[in-house]
Amino acid sequence: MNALYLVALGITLCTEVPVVALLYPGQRLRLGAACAVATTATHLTMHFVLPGLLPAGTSALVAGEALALVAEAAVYLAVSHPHDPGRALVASALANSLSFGAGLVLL
Amino acid sequence: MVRTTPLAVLLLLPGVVVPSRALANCAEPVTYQATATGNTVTVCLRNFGARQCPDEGLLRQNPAGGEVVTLADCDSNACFVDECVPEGTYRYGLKTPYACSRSSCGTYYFAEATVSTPLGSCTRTSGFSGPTAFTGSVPWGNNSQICGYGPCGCGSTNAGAVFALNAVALGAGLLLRARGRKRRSP
Repeated sequence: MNALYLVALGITLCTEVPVVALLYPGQRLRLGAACAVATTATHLTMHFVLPGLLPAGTSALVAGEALALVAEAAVYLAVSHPHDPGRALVASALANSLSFGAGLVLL
Repeated sequence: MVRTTPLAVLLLLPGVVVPSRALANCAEPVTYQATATGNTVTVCLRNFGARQCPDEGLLRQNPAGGEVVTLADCDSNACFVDECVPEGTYRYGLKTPYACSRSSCGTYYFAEATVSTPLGSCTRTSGFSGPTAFTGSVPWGNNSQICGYGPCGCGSTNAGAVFALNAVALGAGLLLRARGRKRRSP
């Protein structure tokens, strides 16, 4: 697997997992684990599946980030108690923004 | 959750002030994996468009001497096989280059392989025709890259769109939280 991809995945996980865990006091371990799994799945999909599916000219970046935002929020909503859609959206948006910003700066 | 609002603004700020390429989220490069073993070079295509050997042929260029040949022999992994290659460094790239893949970390014309073994007597694999002379021009110069991540200006446009998307989601989430609290309070 491409080394640059692994670095990108590492940056993503190291930034998103703590953010999500921080936003769910009392459920940090469960939500942190859910974040790690969901983020890895969306990251893999975005890099290795989506580019081959999208029509030419479509930004895989924007489409992938939108997919990640929705999918990860759905996971946090499902895994957390109580099920709070607002908190799930905030967690997903904050975590994704932070990892995206980290990528801009670090890579 | 309202306490997260200042944090949210701080985290979203890089999208406004840093218009650089979002390499953390680019897909793997569209390129070639060229491996030299003895006098045999195997070139596998790495792309999202399912292009594979024989395609329209692979070119092998000797940058030192200028000789260019076309290859079309494939192995069981749909990789090009170039046998009985003399010592030297060569460039391998598709006759019809990859189209620029904007979501990839980079799209490349060719990859280089170095054969370090002197060519002695060499027998080709049965069924392999070997290289044929190519009289046209290679589609590349000295730069191997067709394009990087995101064409001119589009990288920062996409980054702005991503931050905007997350900002909208954040706002929606905070609004939902606020409404939830209003409903719960007497």
